[in-house]
Amino acid sequence: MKKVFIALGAIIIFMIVFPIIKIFWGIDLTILSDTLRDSVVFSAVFTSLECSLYATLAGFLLGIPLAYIIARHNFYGKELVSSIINIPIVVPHSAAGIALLSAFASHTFLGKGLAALGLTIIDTKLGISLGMFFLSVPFLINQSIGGFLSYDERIEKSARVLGAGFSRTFFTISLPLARHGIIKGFIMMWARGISEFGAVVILAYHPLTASVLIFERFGAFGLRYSKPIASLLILICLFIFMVVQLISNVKNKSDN
Amino acid sequence: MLKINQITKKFSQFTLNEINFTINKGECTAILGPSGSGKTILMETIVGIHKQTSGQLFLNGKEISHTKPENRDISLLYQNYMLFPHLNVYENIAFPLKLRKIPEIPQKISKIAHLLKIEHLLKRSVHNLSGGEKQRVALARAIIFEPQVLLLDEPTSAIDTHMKRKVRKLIREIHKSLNLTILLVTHSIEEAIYLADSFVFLKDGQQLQQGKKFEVFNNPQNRYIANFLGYDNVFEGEVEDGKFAIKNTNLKISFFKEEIPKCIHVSPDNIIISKEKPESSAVNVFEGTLQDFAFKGSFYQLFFDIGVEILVNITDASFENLQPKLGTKFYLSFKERGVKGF
Repeated sequence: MKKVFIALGAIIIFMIVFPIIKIFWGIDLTILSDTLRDSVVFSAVFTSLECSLYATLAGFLLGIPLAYIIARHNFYGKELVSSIINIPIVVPHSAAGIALLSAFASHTFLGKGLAALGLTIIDTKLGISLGMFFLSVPFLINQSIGGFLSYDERIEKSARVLGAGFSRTFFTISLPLARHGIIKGFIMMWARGISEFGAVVILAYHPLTASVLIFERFGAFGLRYSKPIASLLILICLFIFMVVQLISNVKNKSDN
Repeated sequence: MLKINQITKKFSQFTLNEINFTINKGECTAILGPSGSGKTILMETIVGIHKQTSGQLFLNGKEISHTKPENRDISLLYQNYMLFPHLNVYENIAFPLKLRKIPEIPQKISKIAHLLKIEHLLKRSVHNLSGGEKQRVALARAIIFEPQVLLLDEPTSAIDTHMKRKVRKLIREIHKSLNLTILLVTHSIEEAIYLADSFVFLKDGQQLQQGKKFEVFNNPQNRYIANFLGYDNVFEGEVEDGKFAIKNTNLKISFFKEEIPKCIHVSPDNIIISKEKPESSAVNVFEGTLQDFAFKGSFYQLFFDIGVEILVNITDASFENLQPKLGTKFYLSFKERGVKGF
């Protein structure tokens, strides 16, 4: 039985690893060299990194207080709030793009509000960031909740009794102690945002993000020309993943 | 002086109900009770972590019921120390001083470190401290800003027996030398007897009894408190025809007390057992069956059924003489002066 389990597990590992290896295998070095010097590619990758960073910063500002409230307090509807946070994970990304487009259409109060500020989400970096935010913010919130739950609440209570107000306790005790979870969530949200395609392509085909550019190159020129940029994006995401793993290892060592 | 006046705190599934007591300056009061009796909730309400549902708190005559925890001038030391893991020992101790902008921080830390013998630990990470060291560092942090009252939540429950004794001694020394007012939460009667001047008993959120240590010892208000204080053979009942009739039995015991008691206590050391019916002056003689016995190091504990279970302590020499077998019948006798009513 144990051998069957191992064999089944090996299939999963193969299905994850093989396509990633295959994309780098036999890559046309001339096309890769051209891709790395292509200003459109550079711009698209930069747009992905930049917009995802905006989305993640917004997630940080709005999500950390919510994560803290969920981690520390029991309130009526807490289960519902926790479920709502995870809705974006189960929604098809293109459907999320349509939903966002509907919510921010010019006739809605949100659309009118943005218009009053001179902002629009159609074909703008704001639109890209919004799509990335909607679909990746659960990663930041969930990891941050884990961060706040990773230490004894009485440490915060001790700080209060020793003379720190709520804000002081939050910034000098809670945030530093939850930092591993928060940083991990921050990086996961950022990485997830970079790879977002479904919602972004509906909200803002332009300016091109790396994911949209891969789709465009594949449609126009085929697999050979889309592989170099796809491999570049995978490398970026793998690098971010390694950083996340490194943070986890540091956290585990400090816990031990 | 800390006055707790009719403090009630309601949660969805637990209520701390109308707690009332006063701790005078320089005194140590122990809150005693089993797990789940509301001891820690009471402490957290006193420091302001929980807002009381009703009642008032006064510190030196000033109402602090609505004062934020950081402004109450009451310190709390939790059982697992709750040191800040991202700060070193020095930074942990300096924390309350920095917040209060108290000058001469290095001098104050040096003084407290000397008092608690932790000078050599100041630069260490709190991760590398033993349980006893953490305890002393946490105690230093809790008292360095000279709070009006120090609350100790089960201060020795997380350390081994040998360290318990040392920590209790340290707390007593600090209590006396700094004239601290201490509220001690514990489920250990031994710790409470050693450290406290007064006791408050809690059970299921209710305050059962409160008073000076010796008053409580001499007059526990019910069987539960008597048992908590370490009394064995405590029986509830009522006085009938000058004798104490034990509840739910036909047993009537002669006792010596001017007041009418709700409970009686028969000391296990004052009961004599014999195979033959004794011809002594003891007025209380009962036939009982030996149910169980246990060797306790220097003596034996024997459990008899006389209609209720009663415990008898005998020396190991007496045990060897009697060679008691389980199920054997014996006569148990004790004088009425050996029966204490309360």
